Amino acid sequence: MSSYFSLRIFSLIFGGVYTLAVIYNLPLFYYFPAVKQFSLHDLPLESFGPGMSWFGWIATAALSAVIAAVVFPPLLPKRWMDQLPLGVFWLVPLAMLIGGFFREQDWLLK
Amino acid sequence: MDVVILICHGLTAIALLGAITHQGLGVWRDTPAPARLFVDRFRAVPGVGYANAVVVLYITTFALGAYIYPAYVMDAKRALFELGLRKAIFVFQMKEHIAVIGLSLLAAYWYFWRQVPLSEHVATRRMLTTVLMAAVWWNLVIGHILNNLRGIA
Repeated sequence: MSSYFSLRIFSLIFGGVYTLAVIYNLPLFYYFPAVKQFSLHDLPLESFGPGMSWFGWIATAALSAVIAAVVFPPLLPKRWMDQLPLGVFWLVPLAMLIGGFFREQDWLLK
Repeated sequence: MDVVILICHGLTAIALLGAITHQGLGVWRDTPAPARLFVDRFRAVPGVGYANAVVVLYITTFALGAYIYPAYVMDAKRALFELGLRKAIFVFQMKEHIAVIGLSLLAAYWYFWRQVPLSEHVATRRMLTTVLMAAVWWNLVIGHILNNLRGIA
């Protein structure tokens, strides 16, 4: 499995893209729980209620990670993958935490 | 229906907490010496045997939580907002991001437990398991507190 689909690249790209998706608000889609509808665009209609980006951020990250995990392994030298520093597995969760804080800070500051 | 799913979400989270805590404390145990004290016996488990269970339980708990998340947005979050509990909303929103941190690490976590010999990449395995354990503990405790917050407030 790992020669066709890199689980490590999946984790790293998922985390990295999720961070960017959260900071720059790049959901693949929105979900409107009041009317139980999905939309590719944010719909500023009062009758639709608040739109949720969270599912869309996860979808953005998951789709990017699947593509990267399939495309990158044949392109990268194997020794690069074997020598991935431990630090990257610390950095990605930390970046995700900072991205989440950046997105939600208004709840604390306003 | 949402209440049933919420209870299932809580139950799978507790099972996950037990599994990841056994593994998370065990992965830091260096000595193969026999375990005599309770804490040592708790840690003296073959961690590799927990990896599949942790992945399945994490995904199940996450999926159940994601299913009821819209109900939270429409009901509980609105109530917290009307009560002026903005810090509580912040903590819950961060809980959702922390849940995704765990989700993102699962693939690498499984790889280092199941695809790599246990004598290699010990530090990476320890780090991934510890971060996953911290995320599970944080989310269970915060989820439990926030679930009770409407009653307290």
